[in-house]
Amino acid sequence: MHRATILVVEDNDDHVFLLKHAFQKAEVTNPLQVASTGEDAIAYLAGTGKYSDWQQFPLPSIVLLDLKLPGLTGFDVLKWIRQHPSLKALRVAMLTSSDLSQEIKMAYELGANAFLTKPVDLDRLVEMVKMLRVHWLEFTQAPAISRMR
Amino acid sequence: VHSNSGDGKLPLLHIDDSANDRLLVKVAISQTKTPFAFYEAGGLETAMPYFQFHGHDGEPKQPLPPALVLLDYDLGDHTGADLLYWLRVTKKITSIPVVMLSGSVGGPYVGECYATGANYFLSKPNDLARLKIIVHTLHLSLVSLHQPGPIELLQEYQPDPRNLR
Repeated sequence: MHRATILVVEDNDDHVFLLKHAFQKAEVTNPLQVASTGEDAIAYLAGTGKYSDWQQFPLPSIVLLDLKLPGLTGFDVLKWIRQHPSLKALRVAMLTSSDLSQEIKMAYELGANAFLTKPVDLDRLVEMVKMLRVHWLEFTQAPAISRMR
Repeated sequence: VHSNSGDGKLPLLHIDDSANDRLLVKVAISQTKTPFAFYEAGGLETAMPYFQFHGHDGEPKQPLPPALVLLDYDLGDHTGADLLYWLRVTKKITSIPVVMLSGSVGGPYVGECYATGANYFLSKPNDLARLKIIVHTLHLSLVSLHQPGPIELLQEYQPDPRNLR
């Protein structure tokens, strides 16, 4: 059975490690792909460069997108997704360590589907991953998205 | 902090042209004792005042803005996507979480709603038991997953959402 891929866009290796650990503890076994910069994320989603093997790097069902990235920011990537004709329906959850209200507002204005604060506590991170699974992988209808050659 | 009705309950606004479906959600909330304060609207016109200062019937004490909107996609003459779009472009209320509901499965409108910024898109469940699970987990998701953004009530006149798209 096909399992939805999750793309994590995160430049902090420690956060990636914790997130992977949380996915394991939450028993979410969906394939996890990681991009460490905004540019990398766009290349992944477009399926270009080192991501041109679309079988190895399938389109994700969900993107967990860190807001603060070197170079292109999470907002830049979100804007790119929402302006892309075939990818604009991709589900995007913004991740951040802060809870600045202006950032939350901006994320929703740009079309984010969720704004999540990274928990500092591992148990809470596991709970967050479980919630993501329930709502985005089990209960909800997934949008149709595709890459274009 | 989410807006709440004073008794710790989060205001949930259900917009659906089916009175029966609204009743089912109300019952699911009640039977699961999920701490939502339930408000309802049958269409865009009756929903609009919930985002403005005076409330549905000009009631100044109503504990809104909503902490969560359940929004039926098919609202008869309009679509829920029209209202979703209006919410997302209206800066004071742009971060209200919106869960889209539909009686049918699949279709381009699912992507349309995610692209517009819906938090979730759910099929209306066929039975009350599943609806109860959904209502309960939506509350959990709201309090433990989503970081609430700033929401201000609209006091000035706002354009009709149907004229925006």
